[in-house]
Amino acid sequence: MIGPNSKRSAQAQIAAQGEPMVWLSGGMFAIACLMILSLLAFVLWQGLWTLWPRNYSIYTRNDGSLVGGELYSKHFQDGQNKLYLRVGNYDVSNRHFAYVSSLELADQKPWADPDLWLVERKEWGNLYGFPKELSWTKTTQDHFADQVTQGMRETAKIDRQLAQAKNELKRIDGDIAEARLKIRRVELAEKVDLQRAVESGSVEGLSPAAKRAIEQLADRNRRADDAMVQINERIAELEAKRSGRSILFELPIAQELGTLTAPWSELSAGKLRDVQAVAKLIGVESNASAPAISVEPVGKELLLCKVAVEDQSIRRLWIRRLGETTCSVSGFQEHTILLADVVRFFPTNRLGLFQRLGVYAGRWWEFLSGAPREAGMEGGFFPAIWGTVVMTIIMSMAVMPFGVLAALYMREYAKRGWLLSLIRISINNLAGVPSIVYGVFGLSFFCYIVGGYIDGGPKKAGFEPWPSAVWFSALGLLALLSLVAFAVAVLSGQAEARRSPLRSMLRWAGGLLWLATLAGIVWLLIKSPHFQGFYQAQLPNPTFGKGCLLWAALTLALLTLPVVIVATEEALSAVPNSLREGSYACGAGQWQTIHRIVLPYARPGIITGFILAMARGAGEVAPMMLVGAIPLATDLPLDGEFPFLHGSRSFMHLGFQIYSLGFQSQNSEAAKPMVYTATLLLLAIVTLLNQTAIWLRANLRKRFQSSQF
Amino acid sequence: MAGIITTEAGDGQISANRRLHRRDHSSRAGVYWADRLARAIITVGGIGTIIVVLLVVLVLLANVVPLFRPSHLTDGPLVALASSKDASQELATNSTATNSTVLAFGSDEYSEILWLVRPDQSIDVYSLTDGTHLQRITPPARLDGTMAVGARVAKIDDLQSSVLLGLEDGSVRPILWTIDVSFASVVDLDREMADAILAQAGAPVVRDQTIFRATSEGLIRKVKFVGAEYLDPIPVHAAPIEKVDWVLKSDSSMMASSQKGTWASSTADELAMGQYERQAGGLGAKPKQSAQVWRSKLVGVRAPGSSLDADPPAAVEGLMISGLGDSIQSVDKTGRVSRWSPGENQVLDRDDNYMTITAQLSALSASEPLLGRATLMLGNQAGEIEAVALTTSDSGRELRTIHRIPCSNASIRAIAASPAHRLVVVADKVGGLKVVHVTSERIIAQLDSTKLSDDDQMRFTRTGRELLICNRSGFRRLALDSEYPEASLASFFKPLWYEGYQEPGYVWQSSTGSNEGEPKFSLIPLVFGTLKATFYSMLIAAPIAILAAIFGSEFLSNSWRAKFKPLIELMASVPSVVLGFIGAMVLAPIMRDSLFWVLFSVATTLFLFLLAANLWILIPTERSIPWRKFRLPLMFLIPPAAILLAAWISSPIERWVFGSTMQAWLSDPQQSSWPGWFLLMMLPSALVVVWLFSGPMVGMLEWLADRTGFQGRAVWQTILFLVACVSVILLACATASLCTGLDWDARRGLLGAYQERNALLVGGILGFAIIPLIYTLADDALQSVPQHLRSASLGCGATVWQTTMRVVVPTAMSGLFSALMIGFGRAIGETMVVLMAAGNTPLMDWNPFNGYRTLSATLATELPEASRGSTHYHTLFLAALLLFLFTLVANTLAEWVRLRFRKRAYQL
Repeated sequence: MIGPNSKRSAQAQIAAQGEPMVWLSGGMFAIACLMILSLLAFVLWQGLWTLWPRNYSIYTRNDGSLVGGELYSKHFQDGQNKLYLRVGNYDVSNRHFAYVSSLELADQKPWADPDLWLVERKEWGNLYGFPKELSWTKTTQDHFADQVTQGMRETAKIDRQLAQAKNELKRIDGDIAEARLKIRRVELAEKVDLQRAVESGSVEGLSPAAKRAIEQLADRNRRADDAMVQINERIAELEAKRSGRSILFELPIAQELGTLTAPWSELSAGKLRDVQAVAKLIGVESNASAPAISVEPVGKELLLCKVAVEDQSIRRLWIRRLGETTCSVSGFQEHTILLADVVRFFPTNRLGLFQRLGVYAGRWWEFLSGAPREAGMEGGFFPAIWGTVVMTIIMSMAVMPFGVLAALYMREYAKRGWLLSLIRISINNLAGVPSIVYGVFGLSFFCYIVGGYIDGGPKKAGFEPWPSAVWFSALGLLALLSLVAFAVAVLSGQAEARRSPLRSMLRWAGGLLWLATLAGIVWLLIKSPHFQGFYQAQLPNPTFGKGCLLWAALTLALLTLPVVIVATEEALSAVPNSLREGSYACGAGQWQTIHRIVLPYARPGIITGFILAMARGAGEVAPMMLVGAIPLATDLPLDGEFPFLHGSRSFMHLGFQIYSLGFQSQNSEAAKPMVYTATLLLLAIVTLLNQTAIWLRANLRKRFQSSQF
Repeated sequence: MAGIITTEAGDGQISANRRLHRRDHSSRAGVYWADRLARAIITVGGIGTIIVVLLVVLVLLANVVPLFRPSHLTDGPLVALASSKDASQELATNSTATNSTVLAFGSDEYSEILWLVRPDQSIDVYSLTDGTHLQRITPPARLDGTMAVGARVAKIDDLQSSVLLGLEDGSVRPILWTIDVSFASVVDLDREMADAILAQAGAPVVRDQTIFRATSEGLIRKVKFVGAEYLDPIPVHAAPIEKVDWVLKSDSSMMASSQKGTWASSTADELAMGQYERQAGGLGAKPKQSAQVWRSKLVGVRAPGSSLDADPPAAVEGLMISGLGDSIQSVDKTGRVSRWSPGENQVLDRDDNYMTITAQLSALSASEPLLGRATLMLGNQAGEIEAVALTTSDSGRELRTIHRIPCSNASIRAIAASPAHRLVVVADKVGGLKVVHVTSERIIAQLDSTKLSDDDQMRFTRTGRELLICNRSGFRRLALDSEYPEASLASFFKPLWYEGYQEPGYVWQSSTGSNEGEPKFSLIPLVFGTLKATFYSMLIAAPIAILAAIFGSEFLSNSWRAKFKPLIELMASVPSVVLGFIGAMVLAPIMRDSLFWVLFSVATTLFLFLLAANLWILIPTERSIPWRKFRLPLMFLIPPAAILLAAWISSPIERWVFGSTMQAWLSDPQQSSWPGWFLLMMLPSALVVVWLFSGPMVGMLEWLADRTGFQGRAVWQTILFLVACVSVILLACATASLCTGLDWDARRGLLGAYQERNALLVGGILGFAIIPLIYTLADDALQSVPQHLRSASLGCGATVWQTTMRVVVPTAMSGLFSALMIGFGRAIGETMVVLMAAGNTPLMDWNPFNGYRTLSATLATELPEASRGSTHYHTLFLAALLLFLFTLVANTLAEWVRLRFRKRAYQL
């Protein structure tokens, strides 16, 4: 078998295996899988790790100054470690994060001070510092934490009262605004300027309704004024109470006051008491004419020196001992914060694992249920989550009936023909249209045309209304048309006994006439001179004539319509025909069959489509940017205030939040950790929905495979 | 029961059925009606989907179509100017017809009143509706009791709130006024007056030199011309002034208001530019005034390109103060345009660099500054108008003719520029009027037989929607309905020459900051950006997705495929905003810091896969078959290994190839272009070598291979692979040297300076988004190839790979194509990724290291800010329509191919 032919075939055999190409294509498969896996791993890691409480570590720089922060990441580049520190204390240092190169550091090992507190604040982000003094009580340092907790509890009570008072104020404001609206309505109806009439004192010529409205307004204003004075007094009192409680902190920021000129070991215990020696050591005497220094040891490794410098401002120097050889000096800065501004505090370096877990859970809870602080960079994402959820639910309620109807029509009712293929082409194209085009459509159609129409009638929507006479004659014509349509429909129904070409013609004509009537009704609505909108009094402020929850939901419903239709159709076609035939054989009508047999069987498939649509809708951001998502909304779209669901409100959206925080906020660097968490949440929601759908679909298949008969 | 039998309805049975209805009326009727109702509702719902699609298209179209609506210029009736009592008296006393001449005229922004400036420095105010005389303002009497010096020329500023007179004695005199416009509600006026106005139903009522008119909002508008303030004449020249131009800028804040006027004036032999400034201190402080004048004698200069030493001086025919107010442009009868700027010692310097002669040498007959005052419009006797503007050029900046538009067969008599758009109205000697959009060189409306006399002057109203033609005895109002003059196919899709640009080009610059900026609406850069995004993402996604689908469908067992499929579907469900965020915030910095590592990883990954395949062959078949289950895990290990390998060796290689770093090389054109060519040539060389080793050289290699034994075949193959690798590198080196030798620079056109947000990065992320889509569809297509074809091929002795390549893939080809098309459609419309990671600069180059701006990103960023109803707003809808059409074409093509494929698959 060593003939040339066999050799050739052996050679050919190796080539025929195509091993390199198999490996290449397998490699591409592996790359695709690795891409998604690494993305998931990255988001999971970043998202979960962000909220974990870390140690606050203090590093010594080569020049003796200190830099401290929570270590967020560390990566090796160009022969040095780059440390990414959350330095906090934004109001003092003007930054949240800092990069530190390991080459700058005198000592690679950080030092975590057990006394350091992390305070999460309502403003300015995290504060790291040593608690020094409480303004409302004298206490030893050991009881600081208890006192602060106690104080926070009391402040929370004050805050609750304050919120109540503010709500009251808001309610009164709302009342007044409502009264104004009433007046405005009367003004619009009577075509007079009541405000001016009242001011000029010419009330005589007005109608009784107008007079009544003026009286009401005056009455309400009077009452509101009294109430407002009271409430404002109460608010001022509470505010004063609230601001009476504060904590004084010493912040460990790097402030280069001086550097130790001698190693720590030279400081004997005796010398430590020697103020002048310390002063000489830290090199402050040269730049201070007569420094008054006092030393007080704090703990084992800390030494606090008070140095009174020329300008009389007292600064604290902080001397730290590390081992026996190096020491360094850096400045403290004092900072007072209101107790009411404290969200959460804990001695971050002293926490045990379970305490850390507790803080972690607390932070997650705040993220999921709290309101945003600092323009969304801190605090919670609840409004965004809630906005996304409400919007998605409204969307699915809108898309569901239409999607199922369309699928039922295509699968159960429509005859094969041009109409059906036209519908299929439409749906395929709907599925392929970029989401931003839906956004453009939604903005133009829903917000400007439909919203404008609801707000201020045809004129606001951009249509010139007909004169009254023309409109009424058109109405008459339309009535006639609908009568004809009805007659034709009745006729075609009458002709059911005979199968004639006339009958099918009549049916077509009837359908077309009904369509024409429908179009006529729409056209008459558009051209009506008698409709001035429901919210004319609010104009020129748009109510529905802008991006808002309702339009966003409807736009998304349109976007997800093909998903629902395709999934429902698939589910319907998976229902075995034998079931339908059996039902007909038992004498059921078509609707009975669909209602009792087909739909229950297809239900899991329909729900799959429903969930897929929700997943698609929840993750879609581009159209949201045009039709109603805003970075910071003051009100929730669904709340306890009548009428509970506020379709005309703009809302916050999880996906849009990722975009706006990461790319449009002033300090996107500071927002990054929050964005990671939001990304994780969004991905988790979408993935969960999708996996549920996939699981459902798999189960559905199994069920039908076993029940085939 | 009979009912059961009759459901399969025949004609007679139905009537039987109906009889049954009567017997069991309640339930049967319910079923019947429920059936009909359900049918009706479901049919309406089904047909509703078509209506919805139509609605999307309709709404887009309804917003686009108005852009292309033709414009019209409609003539109005001649309104005679009623002469007032005192005016006629004055006319009688003066009895000179010259004093009734109109030097300049203007109107307010609501087109209610018209004012005429007369040679005796007086201003007559008329109602624009019917020509009634409202008031007459005369210059304050001079101290010595003499009459005011007659004005020769006058120019109203662009905002029509002041006029500059050029007097007979060579001085200039600004006159300032205000138009008092206020809105009042009905109750504000006294009853009788209000009733009188309301009774007029929209027609104006004149009381007390004020025009009252009821608006459609139910308010009453009052317009009154108040307080003409004659400033002291500023002496400039010794001779009577021939031409003037005048710009007034007002700046008012809470504390003080200042007015800064700039004028240009010329006599027969002198040119001057002056600035006048007045600051009114707050609270009754006395206003401070100052004026400054620069002058120059008009002497002959040598025109550029002319062989003569110096042309004789020619009188100035037109003047234009530049938009910044720092220079003037003059044009003389011969069409020579010069730029002058104020110099030292109050001398006006002619800027020799900024001089041009318009190419058409037939004599100049009209001139007018265009909106924004960057362009001077000239009309000549040959019936053409020309636009002269400062443009950048290789040697700096120069004046050039950027538009030449033939308008008429007769000589141009006058040009008037619109204050709202880049529109001019051109009047010719035979009475034709043409409205021309200058930027797009398009005549948008015309009127042929207007009876224009030599006496007539033209001017647009403040809104630019009306043209006023006025002479001493009356005026006409011509309505111009041109909503979107900037919009035309030419301005969207053709290169246009914009002010300040070196040459005609495609530019998208929708927001210009002010009304005076030139809007640039070329959609080509956006379409280009969209295509660039799609190209790079498909370049990355298509091979990965198709190859992965082939592997997944043909080489993976069913159980494994079922495990991986949810993973790929998970990939499809990742929201694009997440991808954009990861790309821009995580990958972009990595790529910026270590670009070469990233690029090199691609090469090492491919190399390692091929190497692993060749090593796999080395394993004897009897071993390799049981080890086959380790093949997939091995494949999963290779990419990380390749990335680590690249991290290890990329920086020495980068230093060796590029000298320093790749970024530095990219942005420094001084360095040799060899490394770039080497990089670019790698892929073509690899293709050439693969072709050589599998085609022409096979025979030779076989002959060589015959000398070794059977066991060495695999070794031989591996050696061959290594030889191929080396030859790829050598070939790339050779071609790179060749290209460098020919002095082609890869950085011109193909590569370029590195931007952090670039096409390659977005290509990768966008690829991530479309890989699962293409994969799923391609997998479906491959799966639907009938199993018996595979069995037959395998039965004939073909290997799995041969079956795949020669049987499965050709059969599924159209399905694969349709998968690619649908991926293409998705990539075209993807918004968030591009918005976040592509930099969004509307540039046009193929450099993979530079960003771009797509249609979708433009829509997302600009539509919320575009004011509703503006040209910009509607242009964005055109962009959306384009996007829609792109995807429509891609989807329809894919669908058509898919249907054909399905038909073929059924036949097999």
